[in-house]
Amino acid sequence: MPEATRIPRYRRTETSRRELLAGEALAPATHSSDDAGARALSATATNEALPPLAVIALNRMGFGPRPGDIAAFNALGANDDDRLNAYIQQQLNPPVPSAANDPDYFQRRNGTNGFPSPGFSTLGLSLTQLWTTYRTGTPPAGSPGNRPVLEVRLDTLMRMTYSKWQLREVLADFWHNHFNVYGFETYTQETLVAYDRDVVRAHMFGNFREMIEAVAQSTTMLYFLDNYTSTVSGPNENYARENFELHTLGAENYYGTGSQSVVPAWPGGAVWPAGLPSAGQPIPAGYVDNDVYEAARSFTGWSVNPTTGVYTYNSGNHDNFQKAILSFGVVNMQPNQAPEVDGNQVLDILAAHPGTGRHIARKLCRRLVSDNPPDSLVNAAGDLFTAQRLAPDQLKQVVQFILESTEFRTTWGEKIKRPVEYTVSALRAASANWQFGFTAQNPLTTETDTNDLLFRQSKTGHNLFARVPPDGFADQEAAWSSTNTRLQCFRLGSWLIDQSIDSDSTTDDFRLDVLGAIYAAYPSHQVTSNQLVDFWIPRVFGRDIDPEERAELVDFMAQGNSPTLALNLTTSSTVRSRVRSLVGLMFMLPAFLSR
Amino acid sequence: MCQSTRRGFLVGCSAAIASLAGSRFNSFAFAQGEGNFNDEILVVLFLRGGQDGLNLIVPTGGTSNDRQFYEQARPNLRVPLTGTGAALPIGALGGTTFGMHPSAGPLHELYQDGKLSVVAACGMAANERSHFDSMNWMELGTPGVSNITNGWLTRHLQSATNLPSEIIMPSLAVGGTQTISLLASYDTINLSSVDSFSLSTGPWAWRNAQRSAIRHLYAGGTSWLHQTGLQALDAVDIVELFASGDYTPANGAVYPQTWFGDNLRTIAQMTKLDLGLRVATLDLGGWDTHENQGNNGGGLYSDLVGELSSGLAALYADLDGAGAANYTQRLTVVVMSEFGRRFFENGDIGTDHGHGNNMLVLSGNALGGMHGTWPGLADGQLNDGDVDVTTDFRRVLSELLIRRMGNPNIGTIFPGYQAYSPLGIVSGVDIAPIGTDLFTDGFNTGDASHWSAAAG
Repeated sequence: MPEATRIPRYRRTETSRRELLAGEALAPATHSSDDAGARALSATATNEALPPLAVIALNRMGFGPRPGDIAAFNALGANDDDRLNAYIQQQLNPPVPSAANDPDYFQRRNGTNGFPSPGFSTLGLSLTQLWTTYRTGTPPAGSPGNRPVLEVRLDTLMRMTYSKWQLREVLADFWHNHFNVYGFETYTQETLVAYDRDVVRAHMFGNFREMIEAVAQSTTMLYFLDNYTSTVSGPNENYARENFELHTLGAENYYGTGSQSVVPAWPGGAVWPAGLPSAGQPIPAGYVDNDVYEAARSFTGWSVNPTTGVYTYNSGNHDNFQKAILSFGVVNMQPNQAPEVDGNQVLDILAAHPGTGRHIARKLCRRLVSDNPPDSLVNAAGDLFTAQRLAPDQLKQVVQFILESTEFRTTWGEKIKRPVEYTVSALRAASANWQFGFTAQNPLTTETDTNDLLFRQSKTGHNLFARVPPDGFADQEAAWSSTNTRLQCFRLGSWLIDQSIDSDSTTDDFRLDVLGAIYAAYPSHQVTSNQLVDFWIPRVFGRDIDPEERAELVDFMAQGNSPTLALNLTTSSTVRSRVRSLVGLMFMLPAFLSR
Repeated sequence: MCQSTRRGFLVGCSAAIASLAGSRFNSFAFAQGEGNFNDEILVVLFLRGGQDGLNLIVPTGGTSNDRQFYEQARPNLRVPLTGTGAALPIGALGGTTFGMHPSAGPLHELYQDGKLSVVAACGMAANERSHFDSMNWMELGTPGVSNITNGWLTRHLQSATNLPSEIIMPSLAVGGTQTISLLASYDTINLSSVDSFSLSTGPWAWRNAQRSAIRHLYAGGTSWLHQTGLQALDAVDIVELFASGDYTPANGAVYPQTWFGDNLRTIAQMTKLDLGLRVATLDLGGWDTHENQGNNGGGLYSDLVGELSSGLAALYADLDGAGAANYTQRLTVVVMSEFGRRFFENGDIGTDHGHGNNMLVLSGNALGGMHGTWPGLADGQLNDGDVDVTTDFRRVLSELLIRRMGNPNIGTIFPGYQAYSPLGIVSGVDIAPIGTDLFTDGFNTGDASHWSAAAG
């Protein structure tokens, strides 16, 4: 019996992979205190050396390079510092979106320059229009009630794939997950257009205090976390709890069910700033359940006008008694305050608490740098967040700080692409001409290939706006390393290079035009295996890969022939299909998954 | 062997798997550890959203006034005692008699056969009504603590001493991603469906060559990505090799034509492969019935109960063969949810997040009947207006772990839980629970000051 090198999935011997992985897990270099499980898996995802800065920037400030992106990055300056700084400045300051400054996206979005119209009809509607058409009224004939969220999903994928302003899309995705709502339930599916446009995107380069007020008063969140029904006689703690636990302080600053008076003070003698309840008094290190209950009482009456779908404050439903929030149990909100003051003061307190700064900073560092960013970076970014709490561009400043850190440019492979990022980066690498939209024949039906893509995307466990719990999709590799997720990504990559089901049988129509790109570079259509591999490596990976991996790809392409033998792409359909399989194979490599 | 016709097997799979494949044809020749290759199987079904246990196991009468309180609290949603949609009688606990929801007919039959045990008023002492925390804590096995690094089933598999030295498929998570209860279990095969669990994609002519190349490329490195990639490739080989072709349920079992039914069917199919399966997880969602739950035992909730009931009954029938096919003799299914729902129906004819809830255990080794302590529904008996928790969910799971799975490492699987004693849900040998956490030094337990406060 040959030695069973790998197949048994469970083995109680010293050499089992299970224990190997567990062994790696036992020695995390850094410590983040807010995540279950995933923290243990802080082993570096790849053993690869640091790639060129362009690759780091384009993969972590965006969804991976399209052809030409690396050259464009390198043209931004004479050295790495200049290039990165210029790219950060450019991406942090996106202009007001227009066809002029973002043509690749807008020509698809608007159906101009020969591109078919995606058939979007809800993205320009106001909240009240969305509400009265899709919630209380009758949607256009045949239009599904969830058309608004479907359109946001398609539009977002289109932006991720084609927009020049990649950091904007990375941050929009980040904040959507931070303030997560499940997009496919009653009330969210109809209003997500407004949530995306007027809440998330409107504030993500701005001020956090303003952003959480917009979230708190958004129809989408008011319904998703039930605050719209929270009244003095029947308070609902759902929103208040998730606000503390997920939106602001984070579970790492939760002190359980004990008394407010026994929570320790925030280290260093920090006091609440002027203008806030408890000004000048020490800041408690975290919150207990009673803080949540007091906050829930503060938000009673924050509701939705059922006619217009717009936020409204119902004073008769508000709990006007005194409250004590993050004040060691001392009353810091007097009874009978003016309308909405209670809730706004809760938001003031939460936005000013240094624990919120650290929590948000850790998540941003995790998104932009590493699954397990060092505490030094997190704390510095968090303290900047808190110090700049009143700045109108507070969030932009914090993101800039992280992107300009040494850690950003010297870290690689401590994150993997989540499945949506995987798909989008494959589309970008292959310069896909993908139609995210509804069919011209039937404006109520999603484009067939796109429908199939979304179905396959859902099989990975990651699809936009599909996370049901309020915590958003996980952002660490452990959550995206199960056999199903990995395999379904492989399948997606392999499916992308295959024949389009939208095509008719008489044309050589494939989802990604793998061959067209080669024909453009090699008009003779005579190309060697070496040339084919070396043509696609920089497109897919943006950098050189391990020589042994390259050799394996060449072997695949050559199939026993000399790698310098010219293959005739015109005459041989098997060679053409092998080229497409080669690109599919590249999409499956670890070097394509890491970031 | 039929496997030799599998193209994927020929190119993608090592010779080792073939020898392992052979092992299942000559009993336990392969097993070199102290345990049997195929042994007890624990299936954990999580009902996502907060199942309304009061309408599944319904108070129907008895010497208490609970039926009266129930009818008062739920004038629209109550399950009637007579006529269409009447509760199906099951038994008594304390001074209250109970019946099953009328759509749970198949489960009722299993209950009458003694294959289903019902444990009333289970949950966590912490009165936690957030889906997110409650599910997390239950699946991590650590109420009040979110920062432990692996799930309770992972720790079960890691601490069990009665497993053979090698298993091809020790654990299975059916669904899009791996369940939290199997967090950091690197041996688990996670799949959403057998049909799509294949690498037979891309241009047909080059699939074999591509597959061979992928394995070479992944075998060439030792990083996290390489390791987890190989896990996926191994899993594909195993599933394609053993689970190819159509699956026909045995004994006329008919699964619901839903995702849930498909997932149960997958578990039965995988169980019958005799690959050493010990643990399987799956979900049934949709229980967050805040509005229009269904009046008089009907509606949305009734549909869900029907799906649950017919699905579990199909699984049981499918696995209830004779001789070597008598899988139910080593099958234990536990059904749980993050919390029950409020005692009083709300203004939208639904129910909001509540507290105590029942757990169900379906097994060939079930002792049947109702278990636990019924807290009652009178004013003073409710917890914040809802069914109280009188049985820690970990007590139920611990009994299954000890009596069925033979793993007494309760202090490792449920760190800090010391209060175990058996309820008599299933038969089996009582082993004294080991309260010490074997992995105290191995797992990063976070900031202890937060723990004690949070565990309250």
